[in-house]
Order: sequence, then structure tokens, then C-alpha cells
Amino acid sequence: MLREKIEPLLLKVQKPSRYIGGEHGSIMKNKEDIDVRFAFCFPDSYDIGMSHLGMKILYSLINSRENYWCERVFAPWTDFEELMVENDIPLYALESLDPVKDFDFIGFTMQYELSYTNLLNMLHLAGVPLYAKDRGESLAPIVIAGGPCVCNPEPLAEFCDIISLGEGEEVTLEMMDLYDKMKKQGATRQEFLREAAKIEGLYIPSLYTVEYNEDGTIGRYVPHDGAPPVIRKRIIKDFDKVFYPDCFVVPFSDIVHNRASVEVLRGCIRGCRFCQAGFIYRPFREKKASTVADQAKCLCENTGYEELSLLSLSTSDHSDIDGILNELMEYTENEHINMTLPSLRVDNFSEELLEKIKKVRTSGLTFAPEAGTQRLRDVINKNVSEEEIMSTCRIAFEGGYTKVKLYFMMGLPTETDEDIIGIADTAQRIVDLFYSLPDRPKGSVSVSISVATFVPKPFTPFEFEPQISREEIKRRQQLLVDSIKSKKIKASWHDPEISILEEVLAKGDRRIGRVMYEAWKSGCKFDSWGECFDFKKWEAAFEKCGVDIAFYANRERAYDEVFPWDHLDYFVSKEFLARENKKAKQNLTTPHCRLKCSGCGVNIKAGGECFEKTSCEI
Amino acid sequence: MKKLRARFEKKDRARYISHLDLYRFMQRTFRRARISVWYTQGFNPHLYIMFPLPLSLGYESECEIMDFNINDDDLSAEEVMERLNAVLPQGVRINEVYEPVMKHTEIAYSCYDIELTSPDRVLCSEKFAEFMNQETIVIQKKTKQKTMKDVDIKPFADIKEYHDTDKGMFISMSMPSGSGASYNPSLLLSAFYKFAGSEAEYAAVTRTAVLTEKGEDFR
Repeated sequence: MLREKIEPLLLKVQKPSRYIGGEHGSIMKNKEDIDVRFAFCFPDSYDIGMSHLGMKILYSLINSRENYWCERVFAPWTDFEELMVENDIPLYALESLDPVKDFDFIGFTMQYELSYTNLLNMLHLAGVPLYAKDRGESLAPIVIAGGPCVCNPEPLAEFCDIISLGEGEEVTLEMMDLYDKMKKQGATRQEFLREAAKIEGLYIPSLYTVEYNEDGTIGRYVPHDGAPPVIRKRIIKDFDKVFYPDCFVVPFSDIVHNRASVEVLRGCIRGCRFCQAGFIYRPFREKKASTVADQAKCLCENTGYEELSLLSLSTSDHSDIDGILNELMEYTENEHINMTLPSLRVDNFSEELLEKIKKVRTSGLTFAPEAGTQRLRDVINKNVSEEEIMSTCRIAFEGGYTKVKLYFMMGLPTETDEDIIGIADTAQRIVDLFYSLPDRPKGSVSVSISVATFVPKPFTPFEFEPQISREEIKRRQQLLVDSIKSKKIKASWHDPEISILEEVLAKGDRRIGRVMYEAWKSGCKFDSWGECFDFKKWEAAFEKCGVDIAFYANRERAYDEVFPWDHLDYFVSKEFLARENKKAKQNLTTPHCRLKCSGCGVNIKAGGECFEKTSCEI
Repeated sequence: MKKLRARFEKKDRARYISHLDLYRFMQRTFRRARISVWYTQGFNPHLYIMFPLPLSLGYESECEIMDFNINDDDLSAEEVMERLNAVLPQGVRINEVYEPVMKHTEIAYSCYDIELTSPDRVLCSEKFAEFMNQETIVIQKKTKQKTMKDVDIKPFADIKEYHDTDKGMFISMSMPSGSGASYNPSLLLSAFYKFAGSEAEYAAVTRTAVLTEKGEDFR
């Protein structure tokens, strides 16, 4: 029993309740009744992982099947990891407290590139061979990864038996059903993987050989054993009817997002050219207002949460957002539930909407203009104008808000110094606006600008673009600091080296896998945590493997270059992405999908129109 | 509005719920149980739930106290208990709900059962007898001003029983707790470890009773 070894250690570490499970909503089953066990791993700490919606959905979904048991696993924080290693405690799942290596599936959700080394570390702590090829012939455990990052899974390819492309609600159960059947037949790992390759949405990296050109770019991917040359992502056709949990696991301790949340729509109509989510989650699909309201009430009642969040990439783009708010406003008010709407857009942020949100308490407003000048906003297709930003801020200030947070990016394609200075100017104009208002709230205004270094990502029109160099990132950051004149404006940004690594991992191929392995061996993990990130170790790993960072991060890629993700079909065509890239360079915008179809190709593959005739026009 | 007091146990995996998190935990439990609890009426209304006696993280308890007010006068104490128990996770169990009899300030002592795991057997009843036979047992205790001061805790530790077990030893004791001077059994344990020159691999502590000055159960 692992539990007897775990408990004496818990009081020696921070936030011990993260390591013992037993929360309300966690699902216990009798091992003897279970045919397939799934260890759902989030490659980051409990506090981050438990805030993630996708995990909650798949956890409930798998557990809705009587004979399958899904349990949760998180990366132990470094203090507890040390004690686990010292005391021979392997990575275990929070429900049964059984070792992860005894499960049938070890699944990882890859939400951001900087968690990749945690996948390696967790496999290591579990006692599972890191490389898929070393896992022998026995069927279990099958290591599978999914999530947005696996739209280019190649850096992870050699560590995973299966990569799940697209939405997991259907394919996960299909895969487990196949496994259940083949396990009973006594199949080997390889036999199962060859069968799994026939399920749409499952990519088996070991069934493909990569050929490289002399210049280091990809030549082609050669499939074996009947694996398909192109693997298509999975999508849920009827999003309104798709499975949604009626309860969440409610953590004992406070975590990042500790609340009931309902996904109101999936996909995005906007087509901002930097945004990977905006393309890989297409097509745009909504839940009916009544479905959202029912799910929200059900979750609040079953969890007891006092906060409800309506989630999506752009919640105010829901064609019936007023309907949703009307259905929920009275309920949340009566029940003392705080409703939050992340991801609002400045261009359709109305006074009416603000009134509704204000009824439930919020402290500040956050907007993302992304770029400092209109020209650059046109380049990235962020169809938001300066007037819209200002009028939104005016509504917010007059409504009593004094804090505004603005998100920007630095290093966008075609960016000049003028665009950087434009960031500071925009913030300054917001400060000036505040003081020009006779009805402004008491006290002083605070405008914080958070500037991220742009990371060009696969499946976006900027996938062809290089990232700016480290020196250039630093120069532009300094330029921004020098351009800020007011003490009311606070600027913050990430370590540029984190963005560089993010770019290499995002656009990397299988050769990056070896670098990751070396970096992990030298101690890299929790790379997204400032206190753990050590770029020097990464640089040493790149050097050891003879891999050039600039080849991946700072190289412009031709439209006809074969990319490591070209054999994966995320429905958005490469021709469309190239077309959008050219338009960007001419400062030309593309209208959002409801106004005019931009021909991205998704509708053809998803089968049918993106928008029903009944959906209202904006 | 009706004032109620619950006596509940906090055991097993639930022992890792910190005192700070316990408020939110109970708030959500009341919501799930659909019991309308009284909100404070100030500028920033919040649910009124009160725990007079904090329990150290990791300790189990058979007798935690929680005070709260319900809005529905017709709801019986038994019904409140049943509804809460129906939605509480394993480890937390309400054993009694009643209208408060005493004031919080009447809490004077807590009783604890302690199981020490001592693989090297250094922590045994013989050693403990020796330890308790000292003239004084001086420990460093944090004062409210955040400074440390020397305190002799021997007079405060009322040892009821101790004996060896197959893993180490068992101690049953009471110590002052509540709004007056409060002493955590861990103070005595640390002093014992230092005296014996060996630390317990694991100390399982359970609060078994909350008593008044007269030694009655707090109600």
C-alpha cells in the first residue's frame, strides 16, 4: 500500500491536500469491477491542472462508463518529488493511490509547450520507459497525449504511443473500447497500435518514418503497416448535445480557477492571425442558451461553487449571449453566485453587457488590443480600433472601474519601433481619458500592460514566420520602457528565453525530442515556472545534440516547405494560411466568419456550413 | 434565523484540509445541501460560519465545532445534519447538530490520542516516563508579538495514559486550548524527540474531546 508511505511525508511539504485526493466529486470505484484504467495526467502542479476544464470533461466522460475508471495525476511539486524519490514512492493516481505504471492508459493533456519536460519527468517518476520503443510488447501501459500542443506533436512523438488529435469526447471512448476488446484477446502493444491507427483522430508516431532534406528541413513522412498518410483531427458535430460533466472535483485548497465553468461555444469566428486556438478549434459551434443555463445551474448545485464562469475563446461572440445572461442573471443573484465572463472583445462590449456584469462583483477589466498601432492590428487581423478601445475604457471608467489591464505582443511580423512606442501611447491615452472624464470614479487610475513576446505557432498564418532574435526582443523591451512616461502605467513581460524555448518546441520536429530528453536529464522540469526555468541547461542540451536553436526559432519558412505537422489535418488548409500570410504583409484584414466566409477549408471537412441559417448576424 | 452548532469528525484524507480552507469547504457543503445559511449584513456580505477551535493540519478529530445560523427556522437540527452528511466527502461526518449551550470562551482543554511510529524503538513508554519525570520541560513558544519565549509546559500537559504499541507508542493526554493560553501537543512531542534523541517517523494525532474548565464536554 502506497498510502502508508505517502501519509508520513505529507506534513513535510507545502499544500499536502494536493497529494492525497478524497475531494468532493472525486470518483471512487471498485478495482475488481474495472476493465480499463486510465491515468489522466496533467503535466503541471495540482493547482494549475485542477483549473483546467478539458481534464474535468474527460474525467467525467470516462467515468460515466461503469467498467472504466479514470483517475487524476499531477506533477508533484519539487519538494514532494524529492521525498517521493527518497522513499521509493512511484507516481500514483489520486483516487486509488495506485502506481500509474499499473494503469492501462497514461494520458497527458498538453496545454503549453513548456510543460513537455514534465511529461518526461512524470513518466520517469512512474517508472515507465521514456521512449515508446523501449516499452516492449506487453499491452499496458499505453502512453497517449492530446490537447492543443499536439497539433505539432513531433517533439513528443518518440515518447508517446498514441497522439490524439482534436476533440477527445468521442475518440477517447472509441479507443478504450478497442483496447478493452483487444486486451481480452491478449493482443500485444504493437497489434493494438496498428488497429488504433485505423481510428480517425489517432496518430501513432511509431508507424511513420521521417526523411530529412540535406538542408535539415523535412523531406517526407513515410507511413508503415497500413497507417494513413494523413491523420485527421476529430471534432464533435453536435456541440449542443455533447457530453458535459454534471459535477466537478472540488479541491480542498484554493487553486487558480476554483469555480464552476461552462463552455458556451467552441472555435472562434475571428481569425486573428497570431492565434493558434482561433484556427485549430474551428469550426465555430455554440451551445443553446438554455443548455448553458441548465449546465451552469446543475454544476453550481452539485459542486457548491460560489463562482460561475462562462468559458470560450470569445464569449461575447455567442449569437445569444444576452439570452444566456438573462437566463443566469437572476439565478446567480439569488444564489449569491459571482458570474465571470473571461474573453470579452472590446468591439462588442456594450454598456448593457457591462451593466449585467457589474451586478456581480468584479474588480478590474482586462482587454487584449495585442498591438500598439492600427496598422499592426490590421496585420494580425485583430479587428479592433483605437476608438473601440477608448470607448470601452470610457464605459468601464464611468461604470466605476479604475483598473484596466491590457495585453500586447511584441515581435509581431512587420513590427517597427513605431508600433512599440504605440503600445506606450495607447496606455497613455487611456490614462488621459480617465482624467478627462467628469464622471470618473474617485481615486487614481491604474493601467497595466502585459507584453508577451510573439511566438509564431503551427496552423496559423504566421507559421511561416521567424521569431525575432533574443537581442532584438531585449532592445524592443527597453524601447517600450523608455516610452512609458506615466507612473500610472505598469509594464510587465515574460523572460524572453521562455518565449524562445516555446517557439522551438512549438515548431520542432522529432530531433527536438532528443534535446528535450537531454534537457530533462540535466534537471529541466516545470519550465514555465520562473523559479525552475534554466535556459543554460537547455542551451547545453541543444549543443550536446548538435541542434541549432535559430534553425527552429529564427528561420523564415517557405510556403512550400514541408512542416513537421503537415501530415496532420486540422481542417484549416495550408493554402488558406499562406493566403492569409500574404494579406497580412499587405496590411489587409479578413472579416470574421459570420460576415464572410474566408475559405479556410474547415466547412468542407467538417461536413456542411459553419453557420446555420437561423444563427443571427452581427 | 436559528443559531446552530455542529460537532463533526475530520479524519482520513480530509485531515489535510487546512483551517483556512475549511471555511470555503463548509460554505460549499451548505450550498450543495441547499441549506440557506445567514449572511453577514455588512458592506461585503459573507456566509457566517465560525470554527472556535482551529485544528492543526494533519490532525484528525472526532469533535470539531462549527457554529452557523440558518435562515429557515422550521428546519430541524436533525434535518440539517442529514442533508449535510449526504453531500460531505468521505472523512468529514457531522455527528450532532444542536442549539448552542455554552459560549466559546468556556472552551478550556482539548484531549488528544497520539500514535507514534518509531522504527528504532527509541520512543517508548520507558523513555517517556523518564521524560515526564523531569523537573521542568522547557520549550520555546512563539508569543503574540512574534518573539520566542521559554515556557515550562510540564504543568500544562495532563498525561492520562501511555503504553508501547507494535509500531512505537501511544499517548493519551489533554492540554489547554481555546481563547486563553493554548498549547499544541506537538510542542510536547518535539521536546520529547529532543530528549530521546530520535524523531517519530510519523505522529498520528487525534483530538478526542473538547472540554470546559470543569472537565465537561463543551456543548
